[in-house]
Amino acid sequence: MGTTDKDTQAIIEIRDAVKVFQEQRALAGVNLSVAKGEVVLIIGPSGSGKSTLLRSINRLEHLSSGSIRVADIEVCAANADIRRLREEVGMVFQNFNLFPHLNVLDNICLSPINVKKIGKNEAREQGRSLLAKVGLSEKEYSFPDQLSGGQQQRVAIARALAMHPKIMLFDEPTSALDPEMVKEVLDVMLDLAREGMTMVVVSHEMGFAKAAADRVIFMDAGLVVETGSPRELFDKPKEERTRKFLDNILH
Amino acid sequence: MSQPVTIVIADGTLIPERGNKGVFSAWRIALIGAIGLLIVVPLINTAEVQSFVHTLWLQVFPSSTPNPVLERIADGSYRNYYWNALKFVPDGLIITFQVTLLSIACATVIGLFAGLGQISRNTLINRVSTVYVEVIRGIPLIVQLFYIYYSLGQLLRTEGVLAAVAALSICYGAYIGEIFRAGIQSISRGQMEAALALGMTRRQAFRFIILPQTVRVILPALGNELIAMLKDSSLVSIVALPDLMTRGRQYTSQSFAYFETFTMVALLYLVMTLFLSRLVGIMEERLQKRGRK
Amino acid sequence: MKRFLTLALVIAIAAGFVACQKGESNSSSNNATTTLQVIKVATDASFPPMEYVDENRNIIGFDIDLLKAIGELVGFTPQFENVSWDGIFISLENGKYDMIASSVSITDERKLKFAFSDPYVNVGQVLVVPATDSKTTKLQELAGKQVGVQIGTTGNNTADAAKVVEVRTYAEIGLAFQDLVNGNLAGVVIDSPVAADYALVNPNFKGKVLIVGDLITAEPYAYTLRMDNTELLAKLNQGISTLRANGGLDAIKAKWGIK
Repeated sequence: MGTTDKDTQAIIEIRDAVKVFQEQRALAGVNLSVAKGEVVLIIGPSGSGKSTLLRSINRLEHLSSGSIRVADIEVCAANADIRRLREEVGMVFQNFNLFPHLNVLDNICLSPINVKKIGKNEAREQGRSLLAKVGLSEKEYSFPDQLSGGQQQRVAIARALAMHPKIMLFDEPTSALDPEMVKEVLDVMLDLAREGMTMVVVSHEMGFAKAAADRVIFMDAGLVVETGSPRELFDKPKEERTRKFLDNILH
Repeated sequence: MSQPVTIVIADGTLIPERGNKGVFSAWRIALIGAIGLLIVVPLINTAEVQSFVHTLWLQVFPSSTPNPVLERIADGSYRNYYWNALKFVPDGLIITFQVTLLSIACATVIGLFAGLGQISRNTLINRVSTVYVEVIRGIPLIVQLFYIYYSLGQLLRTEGVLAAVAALSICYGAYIGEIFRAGIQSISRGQMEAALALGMTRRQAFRFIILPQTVRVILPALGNELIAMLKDSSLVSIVALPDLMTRGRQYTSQSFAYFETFTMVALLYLVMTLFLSRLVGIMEERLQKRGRK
Repeated sequence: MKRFLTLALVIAIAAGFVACQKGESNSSSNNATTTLQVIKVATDASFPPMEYVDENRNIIGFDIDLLKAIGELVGFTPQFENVSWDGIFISLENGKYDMIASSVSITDERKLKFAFSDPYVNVGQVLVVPATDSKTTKLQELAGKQVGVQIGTTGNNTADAAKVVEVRTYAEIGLAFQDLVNGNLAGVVIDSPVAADYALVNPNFKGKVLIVGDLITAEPYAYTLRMDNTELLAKLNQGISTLRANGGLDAIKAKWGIK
């Protein structure tokens, strides 16, 4: 029963998503569904709308028209339960966005304690085990500015996981990192993918895509241009635009 | 492509931080000088010291004309105005402190709401607070003092300290509102988004994430306002509050010792602002140690 | 085009100002055609009816009229300048002005530092209370209450000497009267002619404040000069005695309602 659910029941369902910023169409009618446990990578040139699409899923951006359903929540409905939506959907940002005035453990525990209302001790215990999971056990009392970029991003992932999300969104998680730190972050993401987390990742990390992605989506000018398995899309792109873009980022 | 250059000139006092050698040593010289003068000048103007010095002078340079200082000491009309002025003003110091501290506390609360109001997405709240800041910042403090004390006094009874604190708070609230607004806006959007993405409401995000960081950013600016407030509190002498300035004016009006009195009053204000500015400096140093990136 | 219009407007306004100032300076130079010696006089014009500023921004009052009359007699032109009371003595001492004509009462302390002319009018301090207060008759009855005075005046001294009241010092006596009717003060101690003006003449305060009791002190007003200015002192005394003899002083007193 579980397996059929995973294959047939989409956990994210995006229909005709349109987002207009000051007369610019960031999204021009996107349709996309993501199955439970699926790992989807979105690529595309800057300004193609991939970040906007990602941010629409947890309603950091509000669509101009169209609809998004996450689990049983109609994201764009006026009466949508935003709090529950954001508990279901964790997000990791390009610039980590750790809270600089709080130490690592407090960064992780703040929301579980104040939003989920779980006990302080329980939250801290959970925070420590998440830190162990991302390999930063010894850093719980460090402040963000004492950590490297890779360490910060790993803390950010642990922070998002602390809310027990069903879905994780990654918005260019490695593009602000020095090259030698990319791997430590990707390894954590790979672990997550193996554990069956539903993930939507905006990134150009081919290695990660090949190792973990079920599907790669190429977006341009606010539209999904092409969709396929990593091998199909990277090695034999059907669309001219996709080919051109891949040529550019590979060289 | 060149970045536009912004020059920021603080209108407050210079803040002495250990890293800034020039300002720091200037601060030390001023403080030692001011405290030294406050102690030494009244001392050397005592009748005893003056009598000793002038007698010695006469022995070294005998003169045919009588020495006016010695004469006045002899007939008892000599006054050590520096010391007498110092003795006259201490209760004024207390009022000055009282008014300043009460006002900065109220002004910070008003400023917080004005700052939040200015970035509020509610149009009415936004307009009200922005207009408040615009209007108040355009009116000199002394006019506001007269207005609140004497004009509004006809409608509602506004009494001494209360009226002075109200006027200073309303005036400084506008400036501090601007500081809060700038401080809140200096916190990157990503902080708010991260908080929202973690399920917090906007209110929770403000309380747990934005405000604590804002406070760190604006503490030095708030310290500057505190110093400015201490100085501007001298204006409350127009509402007949017996603050340091009023006490000075009262003493001169009966002694006519303007130079002596206002030398002492100026030194007292100076010592207070120097102490406060160092306090702000220490605060900034602390923040830099445990700073944000 | 818009910028040109703005510029033209600015120039027109500026030209208007210059024209106005020119007009003023013309009229004043006409007045100064007489070659009389000009005496610079400091006055705190916030003390009606003795000296105050009228709607046309002229300094008028009893002191002004009297000194002008003396000047005509003995040969000088007083040029009045409005100086705040708590800076008035230091300005005289520093030589910014030749004399003070500003309801100055002769006191022992002031005599130590300054020369005084013969007194030209005798007044005293009185207590003024809100019209709603029908009980108080003297300062001692206001024990523990707030009483307003002008800073550094003989009213200030009188209230201080009463010991029992809490004295609030104002830069101008008008502010003390405002605070009295606003309900923040129990009384005001001030020179009798000024009290009479506020209580009986001033349209804003008439009927709202009352003079109670007798004169608390007896004080003569006189002109204040630097100790060394004996020449001007002699002229002033000569003028005062002439006007006292020929009835001129009484006429001016009558004009301003001073006893």
